[in-house]
Amino acid sequence: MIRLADIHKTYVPKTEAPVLKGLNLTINDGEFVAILGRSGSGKTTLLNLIGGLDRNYKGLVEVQGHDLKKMGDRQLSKFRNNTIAFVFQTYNLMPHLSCMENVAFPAYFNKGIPAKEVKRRAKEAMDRVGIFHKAHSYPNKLSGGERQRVAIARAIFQEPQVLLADEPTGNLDSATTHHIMELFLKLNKDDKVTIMFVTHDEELASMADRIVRIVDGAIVGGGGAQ
Amino acid sequence: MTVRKMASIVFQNVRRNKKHFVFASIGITVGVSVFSFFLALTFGVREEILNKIYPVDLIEVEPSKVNIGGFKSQVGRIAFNNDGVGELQAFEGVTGVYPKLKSKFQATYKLGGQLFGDSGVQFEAFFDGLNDELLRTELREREATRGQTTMDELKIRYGRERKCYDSEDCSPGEECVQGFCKTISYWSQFEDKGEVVPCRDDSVCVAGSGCIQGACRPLCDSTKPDDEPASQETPDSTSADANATSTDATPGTVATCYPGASCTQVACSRDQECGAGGCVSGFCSRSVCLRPCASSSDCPLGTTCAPNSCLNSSQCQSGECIQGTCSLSATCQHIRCQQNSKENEIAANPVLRRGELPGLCEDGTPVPEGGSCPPARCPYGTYCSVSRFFGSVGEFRWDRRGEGYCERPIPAILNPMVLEVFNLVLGSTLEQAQLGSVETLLGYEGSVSYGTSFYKEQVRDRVPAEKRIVVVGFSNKALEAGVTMPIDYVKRANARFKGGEATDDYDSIILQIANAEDLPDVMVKMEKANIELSRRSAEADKFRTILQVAIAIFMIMASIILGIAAINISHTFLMVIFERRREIGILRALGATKMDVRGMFLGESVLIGVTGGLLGNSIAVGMSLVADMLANRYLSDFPFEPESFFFFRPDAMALSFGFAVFFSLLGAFFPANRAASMDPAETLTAS
Repeated sequence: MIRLADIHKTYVPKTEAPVLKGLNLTINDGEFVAILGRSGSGKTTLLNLIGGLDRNYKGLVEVQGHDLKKMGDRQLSKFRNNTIAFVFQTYNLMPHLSCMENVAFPAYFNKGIPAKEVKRRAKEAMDRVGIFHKAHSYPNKLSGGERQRVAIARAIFQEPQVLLADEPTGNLDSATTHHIMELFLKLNKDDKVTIMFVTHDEELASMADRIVRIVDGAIVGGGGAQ
Repeated sequence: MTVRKMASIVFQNVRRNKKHFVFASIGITVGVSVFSFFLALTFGVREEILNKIYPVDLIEVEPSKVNIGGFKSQVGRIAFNNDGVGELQAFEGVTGVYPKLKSKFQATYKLGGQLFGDSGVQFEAFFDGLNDELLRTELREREATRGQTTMDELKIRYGRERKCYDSEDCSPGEECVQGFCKTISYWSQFEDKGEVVPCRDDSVCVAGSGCIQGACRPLCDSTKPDDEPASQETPDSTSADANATSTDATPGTVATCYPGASCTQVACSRDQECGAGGCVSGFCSRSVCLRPCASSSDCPLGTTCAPNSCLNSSQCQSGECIQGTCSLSATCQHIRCQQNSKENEIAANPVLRRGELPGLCEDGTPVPEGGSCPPARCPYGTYCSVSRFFGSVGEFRWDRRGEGYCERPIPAILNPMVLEVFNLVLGSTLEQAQLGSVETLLGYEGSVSYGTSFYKEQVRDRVPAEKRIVVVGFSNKALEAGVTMPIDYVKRANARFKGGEATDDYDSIILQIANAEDLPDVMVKMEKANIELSRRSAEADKFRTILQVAIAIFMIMASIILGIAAINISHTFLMVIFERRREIGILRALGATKMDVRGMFLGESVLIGVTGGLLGNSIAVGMSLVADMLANRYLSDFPFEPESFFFFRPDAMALSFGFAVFFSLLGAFFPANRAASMDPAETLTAS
């Protein structure tokens, strides 16, 4: 379960207006939640807080029972490696690594997975997103949709409990967007992964279990758990 | 993250950022190469040149002198004699004390043969004496580096050894050892071979020896040990006593004689035979140390130990006989000889060689009854050392023209500087071929004439003597303008020409220091004892200081270069980190800790340091090879010219390597920390 209580967040310098103003949000395990809002409303900030990437906030962020504020760098990094997975609008793949290497990259930070297992999991993840035939290609040779599939495969590889997607289809055409959304839905259904995805596309948001609307740093609808 | 995974990421990053990597490595490489190159040069100059001229662990000290009205007067508290040697030995940090004695009389060299032509050259001779043990080790090491013994090994392996009866059968440069010809190990010859000092009174004999039967011989009470009272067996040297004589005639080892020798009273017929002591009741008033020969191995070549032939005691045939023992030191090697008598005839007649005709002596005369041939010529390896003058002083007459004793040549060592002198001075003025290396002079024999001079009138009351010297090695401790021989030769010669009273007054003393680091301590103590460094040691001290300053300057220079390189690395890393900041965000999002991020950049910097260190050291070695090649081609030869001017000490190379890594890490430390503390959320949104 993800629980955010009374979150206040202001970017430095402090003269700027606060991004999140007393935000409260609870998301149950296995939920597929769309976060809807305009640019600058605080959607990405919200994901960063939940993903433990941003720790400068007031209030409580609890993910799967962990109070993120109380975790040290090592614990938090482990948490990001094991529990959370990110999918970004800009894919964020390593340009110098092949698709296969990109998918398996999180294993670098996880001592527990044996080399054979890494290979198997990477293969399986690529298979699931239908990109295995491009395993040895480099990101710059792939289309936007293919790159995003590699990014999703990387997320799948991590076997996360929570997947945070920040406008995953923002750079994609509608056909590809459809495929990507299908992948998310499947992941949510088959693996019971909690998925939060940020979008400002009402139609896409409507595919989610719940839509959380953020306006100017506060939730105006869908904040409570269903 | 495991080290392997970290290394893998580091290599991936280096692979894709080759340009940055090379750029960052250049500074470090240049710094390390400069550092290594100059350090090796200074060490090379120190080890290969300076330490050969002025050995680190040896200092030469002289008594402090004050200049009073043009006369130097010694003010040292430690006497430069055997007592002083004892005192210096007690100094902490001093492991060896070796006195040095200069020749104090006139002498001239006569050098001829292959090197100087038939006419030969003559010049004033100077020489000094040094402890043979001090030099033998050095000579052995130097000779070992020439690798002569490997020739012997080759001969043994392929059965090419030549059998010999004695060294005469062997080729030049070889000697007969246990029936086989072996390469001469010259170093082993640097020792006192003994010589005969003819005398008519004790004044020409060194302290501790007396004039007995016309030659200086070691007296029994010469070196009285401190812990023992004057031996009762030793007769009083001033009062002759017939009774004492009879007791002393009994052979027995006396503490004051060298090992194996016994104190023996010597028969005489007149006072002149006994030096200062006088002849009383047919025996010299003083006893001498003599060692009888036990077997022929005690005797020199050409003589054998014949029992019962001389007053019921074994003696070396054809050796001189005193009271039933072979005369002098241990080896019975001195026989009276006559120069230019039968020698030439016999040498010309091969049939008469080596007394091979049964019943005939070497000179062709029948063997006298009793089996002892008179000596006709000196045995192989010896020469006839003659005293050249005859004349009379008062009632004492001597006529020794062409008469002397067979002696082995005096082993002498030369300073390698003579090569330069030879090539520059003698070589050009005498139109002689240049010598390639000093080793060419090994085994060279020349003459030295004691008591003659070009500068000064001859010593009137002394008999000039002809000696031969043989070059047996080279050392920087040897006199630059002269030869150095075992100290006993110089003592004897000084006594012979200047009187025996002060033969143990040394000119300087060489001190062996256990560790070069102890040197300053020892110097302070020396100063307190009013002892000062000799000119050479003082020079060495100065040169070492100059070198140390040079090393310090190069270190500072290299450190500055490395410091600049570190700043360059820092700059490059900051740039790289700025370029990769989004990537850093991704890494953090995927689970990299701050430590992982820091480690990645520090890892890259270590790789830069290692590359710079290896490359820099390799370049330094390469540059040194080029420098040596250029020096070989364009520098003219000079003394002590080393094969290489560089000495790459492993620890110095490790140090420069360590510096490379250290300065790279230093340069990368700040950027790496900055990368680690970047806010991942912010970096992810970076464009």
